[in-house]
Amino acid sequence: MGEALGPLFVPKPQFHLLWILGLAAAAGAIGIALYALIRGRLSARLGLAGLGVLPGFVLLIADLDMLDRSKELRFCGSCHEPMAPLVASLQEVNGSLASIHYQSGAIKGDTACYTCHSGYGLLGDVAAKRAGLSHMWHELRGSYEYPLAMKGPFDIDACLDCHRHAPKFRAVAFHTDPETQARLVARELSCTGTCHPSAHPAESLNGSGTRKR
Amino acid sequence: MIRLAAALVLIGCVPAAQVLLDPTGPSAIRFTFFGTPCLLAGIGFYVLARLR
Repeated sequence: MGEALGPLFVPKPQFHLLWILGLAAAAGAIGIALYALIRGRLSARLGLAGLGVLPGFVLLIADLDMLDRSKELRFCGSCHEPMAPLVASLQEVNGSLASIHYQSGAIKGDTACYTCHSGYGLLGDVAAKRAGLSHMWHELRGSYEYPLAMKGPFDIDACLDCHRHAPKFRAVAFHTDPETQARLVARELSCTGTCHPSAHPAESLNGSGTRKR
Repeated sequence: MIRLAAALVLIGCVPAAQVLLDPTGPSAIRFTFFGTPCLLAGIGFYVLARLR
């Protein structure tokens, strides 16, 4: 998409040494496992490498790589039934909060979903990964319920993490009002869908309809 | 038992390679719910075979 605009708009390719090592280890483990399947026996050293160390390494690297790259917008949008309409709605001007942020470049485009849907700090990352596992389970079983809705209130720390430092945000009287702050801290009030537009357009929460319900 | 371990490692390595090459939701699902248990079981059966 960016290629037509020139080299400035093409993301730089990224090569990870661990990614290459992981693939090499997988190829090695597959080769040794095939040999063991055909021969029915292995020397102790080859067995340790091919059925112990290499698969363990593959497991570790694939998990780490998956955890890291699951932050990407492309990853979220690849589950077509529930998420593709949401990702598509980011990329059009529709006045939703997510679209406003994405279109104005206020969030990193490659990791737009993760930026807003992971809470603050390390525990926020852990909670996002736990939620991701639950998303994968729902996708596997086809048990998503529509319209999509968050389980609990949206974690406003994801908003405040960026906005609390901004003079423009601090200058708004409503943001510094003690009663409003108390309600926000108690999670009785959220930023989105109340004073600010809804996070996503309502029609994008109904899935793409590619799977029979 | 070595053959069983080898088969499980072989089966587990395929979704692992797939998720490394093309990290998408469906490949991550295959790796998490199918590849990971296969790899763990393969390693486990190999260790059991060595201990016997």
